[in-house]
Amino acid sequence: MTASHPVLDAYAEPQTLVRLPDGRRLNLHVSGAGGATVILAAGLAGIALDWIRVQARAAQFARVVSFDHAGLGFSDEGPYPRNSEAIVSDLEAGLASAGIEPPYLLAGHSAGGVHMRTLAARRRADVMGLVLIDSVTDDFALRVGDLGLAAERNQWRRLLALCEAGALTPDTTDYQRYVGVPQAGLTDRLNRAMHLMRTRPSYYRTLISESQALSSLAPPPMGDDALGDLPLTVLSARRAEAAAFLQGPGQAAAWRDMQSALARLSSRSDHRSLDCGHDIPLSRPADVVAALRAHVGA
Amino acid sequence: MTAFDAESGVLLSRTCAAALRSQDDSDTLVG
Repeated sequence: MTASHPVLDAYAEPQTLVRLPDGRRLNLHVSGAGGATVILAAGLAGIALDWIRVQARAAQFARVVSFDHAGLGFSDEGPYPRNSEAIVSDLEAGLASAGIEPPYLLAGHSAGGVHMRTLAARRRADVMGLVLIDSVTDDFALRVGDLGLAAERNQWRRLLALCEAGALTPDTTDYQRYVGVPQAGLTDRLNRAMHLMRTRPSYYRTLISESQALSSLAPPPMGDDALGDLPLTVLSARRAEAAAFLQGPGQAAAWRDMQSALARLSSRSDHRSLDCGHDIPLSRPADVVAALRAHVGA
Repeated sequence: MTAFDAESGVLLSRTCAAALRSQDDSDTLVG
């Protein structure tokens, strides 16, 4: 196991805990400096750490903010339901509390793209661009079909019950599969932090609620040009079939078509299909950083 | 949708995988 590592260990504790109007604390991970601020929103069950490969690079030319949704990472649990509006309201209040002013460049991976579209709709004048990374439309269920979200929620309900009973312990198969630490190669402090994050009932309550909200996104679908002329980059996974939540070539093809539909949301969009799977911030961070850099003109 | 890519590694969450891979990023040590 790695004894310590300065970048990893920065994620083993709260970085910037800001106070929200109702007293809860939201953890922001802020780095870099620049005229524009890049906001990074992780996908379902993701936290600020998911962006580590992107944030460290992008911070070399911009101020970059990733965040832990309420109930995840180091952020306090929030009121339910944990839908996109709730997540974005927390983020807006957190940015205000931290004095992080616009303009904002918004980037969201997977379900995080939904949250960033919500923020762009609310704060159009403060948003200079949007980067949607293998994200989803509001009518994704109609386009792609069953993504296994309900089955995944059932797993989380089971893990929640184990947590509440004090039975999600390191000697169990469930712990080893779903908590998944310690990992050789992570630092002691980060392994310990991830153990604490994933053995709290609030973690599973939050995941269940966020997933339920995603399943409840309401069509009618957004029309083309719904974002007007907001500069938009769509980064999509050419090898969509690598994602475990897509079953078969039909779903993978529908997922790819959905990325093209996302690109049609703005009259000023650029769609790049990358030769990789769904986890683009993890596998292709340089491509994400290049897209961010193009938006901020650095 | 949290189930990760085959390319990310079975039984390794996206978050853990990102942390592990970041250690290969020699250009980001100042980040």
